[in-house]
Amino acid sequence: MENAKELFIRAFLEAERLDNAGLPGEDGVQWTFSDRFETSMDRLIRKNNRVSFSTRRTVTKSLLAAIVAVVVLFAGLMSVSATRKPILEFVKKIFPQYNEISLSENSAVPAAAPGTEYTLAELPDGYALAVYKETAHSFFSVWKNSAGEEIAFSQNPLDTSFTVDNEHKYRELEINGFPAYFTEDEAGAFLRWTDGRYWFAVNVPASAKGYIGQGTAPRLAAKERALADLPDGFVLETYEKDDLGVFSVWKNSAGEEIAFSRSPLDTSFTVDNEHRYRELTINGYEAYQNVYDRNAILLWTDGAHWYNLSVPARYQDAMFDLAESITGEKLHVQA
Amino acid sequence: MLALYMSLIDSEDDKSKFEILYASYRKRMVYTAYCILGNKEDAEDAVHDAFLKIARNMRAIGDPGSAEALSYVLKAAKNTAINLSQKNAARRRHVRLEDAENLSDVRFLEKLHLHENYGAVVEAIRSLEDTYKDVLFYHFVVGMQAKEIADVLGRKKSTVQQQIVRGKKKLLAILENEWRA
Repeated sequence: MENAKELFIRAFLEAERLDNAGLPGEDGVQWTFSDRFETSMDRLIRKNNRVSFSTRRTVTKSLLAAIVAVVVLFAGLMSVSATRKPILEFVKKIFPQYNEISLSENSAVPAAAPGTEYTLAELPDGYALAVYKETAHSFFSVWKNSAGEEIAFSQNPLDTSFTVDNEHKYRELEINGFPAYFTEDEAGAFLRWTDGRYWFAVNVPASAKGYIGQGTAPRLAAKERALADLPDGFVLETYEKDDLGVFSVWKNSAGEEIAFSRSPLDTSFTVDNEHRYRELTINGYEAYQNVYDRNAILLWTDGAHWYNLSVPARYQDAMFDLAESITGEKLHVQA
Repeated sequence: MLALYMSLIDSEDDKSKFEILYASYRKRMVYTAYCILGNKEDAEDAVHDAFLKIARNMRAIGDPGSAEALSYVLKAAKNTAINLSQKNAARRRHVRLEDAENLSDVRFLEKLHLHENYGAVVEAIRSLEDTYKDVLFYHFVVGMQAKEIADVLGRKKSTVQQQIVRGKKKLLAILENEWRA
């Protein structure tokens, strides 16, 4: 015999059925959807499919306690033009205490190659990452030492305007053939430079002034390489980046695909726990792997983001090497 | 790109619930929204926003072909359209938080005497105001928490909590009037 709640639900659904009976069927509604609607819905469907691998089980570990379904927005990128030469002209406005630098309207900004996020390749001893923020096109990191001193690094698009303190030992230099700006005072030193694709800036405390010398740009490392070292024949086909994440796909002539995504830590995932599923430990966190007939999937985190890699099944043994190649960071794997 | 992820799914049963919902109900959703808004562009905006909310709560949806799923999406479209129509309204609705006696679900269900009054309960639900009917649907039928219901309906969590209590009481009041008649 049904319990009271089951009976109430049945009654409710019957009431709903009766209420909805007057509604025309799907074929009875004459409606031509606008292109705008179809495009936005197509995007929403693709995003929704990306976060859902299977409906079988939702992972509910402490790291995922606040699960929020995510809608990932991907903005279109300009195509790469190998023949287009960048023309960069900077406008400097001088004010009493600062200069304002911006890209002139005459500039031809280089076509955006698949975007690359950079970070400082080396840091003085004792500094650990304390802050990390990113938007679709800008990145900001702060490393701190035990004395509370901070080294800050930022990467911004080339059309970013900024101001530079022109009072304290201000110098204009040339780095990579472009203007660069250096200032220092008792508290520390600051350097801003460009490689012709991005603006970079680093701010160091007085104790670490030697890190940027008298305007020497520190060595940068590509944090996430869209053009990673992948098996022969795989070419980057898709690279999308927005406020929430990154998505890359490489394809070979046989149509095989390697797909990689990076998502925020509060992304919701479901994990297929049936098909050759195993749980691992990567970077000290629980990670998940599935192997299917045609492909293998790895899902892991570094405590800051979720990463997902899908490779053709024949590359399953090389998955971890491929993942390191893409992220540029060592994965500490424990099976 | 969709093909890559569809290849990860084993069977037609697992095909994106979201896609099925969209393909199966979008016209009825836009029809529902249009009846409220009277404007094609606004109706499509409302349906798109409704699907955004649905996407955030997909785990609440079981069989996408069920009557429950149809009601779920229609209510999402209706409430999104209502919210959109009131967006630029000068007046604001204030929901006064009453010190109402909290009627537990168990006590509420006992008072319905469902086994004896099934038909009357169905009619009482139908005659309940949409504001309360919708929250009770999400609460009992879908099994969502107040915060999730608030997200789908575009209301405050505290408002939803109060509406669940008042909805139960109003339903009982409708039935009591029916019994007296």
